[in-house]
Amino acid sequence: MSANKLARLSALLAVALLLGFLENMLPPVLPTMPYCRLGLGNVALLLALLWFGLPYAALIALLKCVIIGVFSGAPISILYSLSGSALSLLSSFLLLKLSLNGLPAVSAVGGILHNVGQVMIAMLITKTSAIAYVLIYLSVFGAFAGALTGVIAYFVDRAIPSKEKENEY
Amino acid sequence: MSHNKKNRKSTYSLFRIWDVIVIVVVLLLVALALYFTLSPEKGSRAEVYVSGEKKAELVLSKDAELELNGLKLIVSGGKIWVHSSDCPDKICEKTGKIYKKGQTIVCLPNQVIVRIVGKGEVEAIS
Ligand SMILES: [Zn+2]
Repeated sequence: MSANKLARLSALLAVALLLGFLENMLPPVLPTMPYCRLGLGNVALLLALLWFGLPYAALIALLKCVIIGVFSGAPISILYSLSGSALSLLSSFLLLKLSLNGLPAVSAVGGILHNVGQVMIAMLITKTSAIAYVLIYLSVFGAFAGALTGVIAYFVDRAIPSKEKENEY
Repeated sequence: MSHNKKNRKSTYSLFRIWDVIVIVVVLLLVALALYFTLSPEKGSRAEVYVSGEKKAELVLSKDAELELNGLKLIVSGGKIWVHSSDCPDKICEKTGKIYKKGQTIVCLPNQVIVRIVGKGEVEAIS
């Protein structure tokens, strides 16, 4: 691994953690839906996916979920955020491979599936399907948050394109 | 696509024609969410679940307080909310007051779900 790559990966993890913690401290975007988060830390995950591929993006996602989960004092939220991140990363990876969509759309689908994954785990944990209906709101929110993430990632990538892009999507 | 990797700029675009499908899906989701939001059917009761098991049923027209699994629930003025909770994320508290059919309060750490259901005003047991 080159020094440049290591530096970029560390920077991406740092940004993901910083934005993640910051968002946890700020009041929720929609007061009536406190579990809705913009997930701006996902910009870093998307860039990791673009620049270094799925394994590295997954590694950063794992570290982000575990570290934020441990420090926020709710270990169960690790499971919750991990399942969301896994689904969202996988879908973004596949859509980028297909190369049919623009980055915001790829990220919007990831945002929707992120919330689908979280609600599925929540239904497992609480052993009830009573919360299935919140899925519709979370999907809409995830789509817009994801699209925003995609737009930001697009411009960051244009501003500082990686010299060693290993992945041809 | 171009093969000169060295000089190419970003291959990612802001928009491609297939995005139309994504946009249509999102618009459908928005329509569905609006439909749910704008149908303001008031519920009459609140079911309280712990770990998937129904533990209590509260009639919204009757003011009440209930302490359960670390949560303190209050029913007042036809609404129900989590007054306080010992969970770490407090998401249940922040959810606020609910009263429409289908609305839920979820406390993931304590595995509690409060859900509004409709009808059945008559079966109010006191
Ligand atoms: Zn709670």
